[in-house]
Amino acid sequence: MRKVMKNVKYIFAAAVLGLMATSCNDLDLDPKGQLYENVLLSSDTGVKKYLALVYQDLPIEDFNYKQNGDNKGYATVNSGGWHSGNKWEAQKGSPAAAAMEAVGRDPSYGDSWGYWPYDRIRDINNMIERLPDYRDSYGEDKYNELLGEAHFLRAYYYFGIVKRYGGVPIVDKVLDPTAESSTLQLPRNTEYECWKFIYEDLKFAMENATASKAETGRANRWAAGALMSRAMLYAATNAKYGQYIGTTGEAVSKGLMVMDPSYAEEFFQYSYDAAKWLADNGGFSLHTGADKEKAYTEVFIEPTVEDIYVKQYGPNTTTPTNTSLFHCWDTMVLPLGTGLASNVGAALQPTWEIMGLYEMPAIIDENGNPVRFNSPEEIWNNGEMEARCRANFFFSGMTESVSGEVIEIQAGVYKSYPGTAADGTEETQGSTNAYTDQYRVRASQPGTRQTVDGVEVQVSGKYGLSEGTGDEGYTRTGAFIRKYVNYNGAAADRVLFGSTQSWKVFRYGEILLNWAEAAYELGLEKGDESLKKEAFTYVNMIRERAGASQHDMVEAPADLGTDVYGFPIDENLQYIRDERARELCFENHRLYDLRRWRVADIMFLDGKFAHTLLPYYVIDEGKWIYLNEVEREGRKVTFDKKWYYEQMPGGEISKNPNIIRNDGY
Amino acid sequence: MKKIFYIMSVCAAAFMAGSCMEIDNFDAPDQHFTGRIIDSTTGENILADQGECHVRIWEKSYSLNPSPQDIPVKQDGAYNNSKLFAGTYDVVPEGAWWPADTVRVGIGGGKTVTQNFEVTPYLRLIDFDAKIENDSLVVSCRLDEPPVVEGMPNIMDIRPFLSLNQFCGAANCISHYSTIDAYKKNINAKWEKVKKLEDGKSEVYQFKLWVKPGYTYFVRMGARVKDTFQKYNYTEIKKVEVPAE
Repeated sequence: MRKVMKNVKYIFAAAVLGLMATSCNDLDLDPKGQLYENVLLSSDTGVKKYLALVYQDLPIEDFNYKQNGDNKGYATVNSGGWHSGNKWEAQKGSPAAAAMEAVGRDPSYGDSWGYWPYDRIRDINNMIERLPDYRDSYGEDKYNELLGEAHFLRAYYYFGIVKRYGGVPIVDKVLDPTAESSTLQLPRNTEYECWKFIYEDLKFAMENATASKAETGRANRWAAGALMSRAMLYAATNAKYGQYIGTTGEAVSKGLMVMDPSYAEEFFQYSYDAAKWLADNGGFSLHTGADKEKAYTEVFIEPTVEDIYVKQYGPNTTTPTNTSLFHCWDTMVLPLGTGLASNVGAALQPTWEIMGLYEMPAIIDENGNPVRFNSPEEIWNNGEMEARCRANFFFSGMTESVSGEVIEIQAGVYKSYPGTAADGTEETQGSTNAYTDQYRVRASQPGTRQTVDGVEVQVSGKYGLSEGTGDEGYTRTGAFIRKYVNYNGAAADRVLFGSTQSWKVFRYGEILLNWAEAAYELGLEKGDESLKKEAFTYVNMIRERAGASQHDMVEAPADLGTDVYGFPIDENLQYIRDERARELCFENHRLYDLRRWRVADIMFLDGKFAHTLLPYYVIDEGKWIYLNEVEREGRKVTFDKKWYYEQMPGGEISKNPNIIRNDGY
Repeated sequence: MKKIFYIMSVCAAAFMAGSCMEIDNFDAPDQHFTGRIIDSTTGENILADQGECHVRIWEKSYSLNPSPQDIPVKQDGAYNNSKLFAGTYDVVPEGAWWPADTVRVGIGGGKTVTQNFEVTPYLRLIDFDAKIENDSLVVSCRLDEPPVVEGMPNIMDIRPFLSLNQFCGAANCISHYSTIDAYKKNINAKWEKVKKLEDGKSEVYQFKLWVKPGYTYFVRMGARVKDTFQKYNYTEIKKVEVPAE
């Protein structure tokens, strides 16, 4: 022992000496292996490297976007300099649950994680400022294309913050960190100025960025046009409906949050023009096919003519860790089972609130009684359900193609069902009341057979419902999400971080819906009937591809809004909004849509239960019924009015006393 | 090895002891600030629920842009905080009334500082009645013409609140009743659009509530408007004893 200690001493002494000796060397050398601006900004390859982090952090609400719980935020949110990625739990805190498109674990808006990406904005500003020094390295076109790309990226970041906070400080140049701090403590610009700033950046990008679609995942002018159509619609509805939130205070009176409704028309026009420009020049169209159901699933898995901008992912075995460039969609939405989910399973499940918006057979007749079906499959295979609905959800009896599994769903059995649908769907957690206690039998495990009233029957489906297996793994709502499920993938990839399908950041389907909404709203602003009619041509293009029936504009629309929300929303506008919900479900639009329409606080006032589409076997009749029960976990969706504008991050206020807080908190 | 352990423990002890050496020379907050929220239409304290509305204060002598602190308004319409740091504060009452002016108050010197606020409630609830009919509790009230109609936000809803103790209101009630849509009337309209009787005051809002025999309830009704805070204006509280079966 002593010998060892002695040796250690010598080694230690030698190490200390060595350490001190090296410090005599001059340290003021450029480290080898680092790239500087002169390399990064003088070639297209260099710029790609320079922008890598800017692209990785782009505020895209993709598969990895989590708005609540641990590690919330964009998957690559910069926490203390680290990019904490790999958000396998993202679907548990999905915005879809807070918009009641699906049930997850976090049913309320929880986005306040202090999003403040001025580090990336600085990177972009630096590029825009320094690129002229390397102008000679490029041809005129390439130079302008790179500048256009930078402006698109900057607009995307500002869109990410302005949609959260309203007005923020506009920083469009590189600030010197050694300058006097008072010159760095920039006040917030007004919300209007911020949206206009985004408009100017995107206008530049649409004119200058490349028109080539060759490089998937890299921004081009079409992506800029698509963001213009989306962002300007946000700005326009913020302006038009902001007046109805009824918040007052310093930030409101200074225009930092809530815009004057007179700005709405200007922004609706920008959105309209951008969509039209894309349609006229971009060469995009809706992806379709003879089998409409199959074609619709292809939109989300294959590269198609509908893609405008796509975010790609790789297998987690070869993609660098902590980059969040892989995801877990398949194993998070499919149920647990062989060839299906290997981990977690069904963390996000569709609600009746979204499923019920599609064309499908009636499940309640005119007397309020549940319609009797011969089999649970009749709801989707009798020809009444639109193709898009079958492509978006797995209903009982559908076959999942990779595993070859039949998705068997059964909520339970009714010994008899003498009552109306309302009797079995009490507005209580899990819809439990004296009626269900008397007639309803459910099982604690999936795939249970048992004897009920002397008859042996199947009580629960192989993939749910089961009352004793927690909130994940098997269905609670009577269906599973099919949208974006990779039918090309291998069953072995249905593990955490195993999914590699791309996220369609912008697709032409969304542009048509942006166009329809902007056209109809413009028609309302200007009193122009032809613009309103035009909106429905785009809606019907979407519906045609979806395999749904055509819908004409109602000539004298009823006002559906005033009695519910206290401000008018006409029947036609509501239809356009519902079409948006149908077409864009689970693409993380809905929460932000409900928010910009300023309807979420009333829609979810005092907390609202999500509902289900649960198939039951009625023993004495030998028939099947579907019930819209309250979801069994009974998590209520809530939305506080103050969430229309998030509070400014406290840390930023303590650094910059000129930042005025938002009102309503 | 043992020696190393001892040395380390001594170091650690010294390190921990060192942290005790710092003397906090700042006095604990001990200043007293209190007051009442007065309903300008009655001259009385406002009808409030315990802790629902608040008086918001900013300590301006501490920072240019300080975080706000809230002092809750009690059920009797008063507020009170006896643990404040001495300093200059901006103060404004926020709740179910028209926005009030922010006032600057110097707090310090060990004296109790009293600041009353006269505010105008958005709504006045009148003709409140609560009685037992068979096995149900029937409550009703009307809305008086509001003190200020011009520019008033939409009236959102009107509903009863039940409690088993003397604190009763949106912040202190039996939550079961607020989960049921039938126990609430959504209005979502301006005062001009509200249904009225001949005297120009609103129609009667009546609710029939299921209650437990043998229990004593404290009952009131509240209505709110869609302003920044969406807090309720209330009736007085009635105590109702449900006869045992």
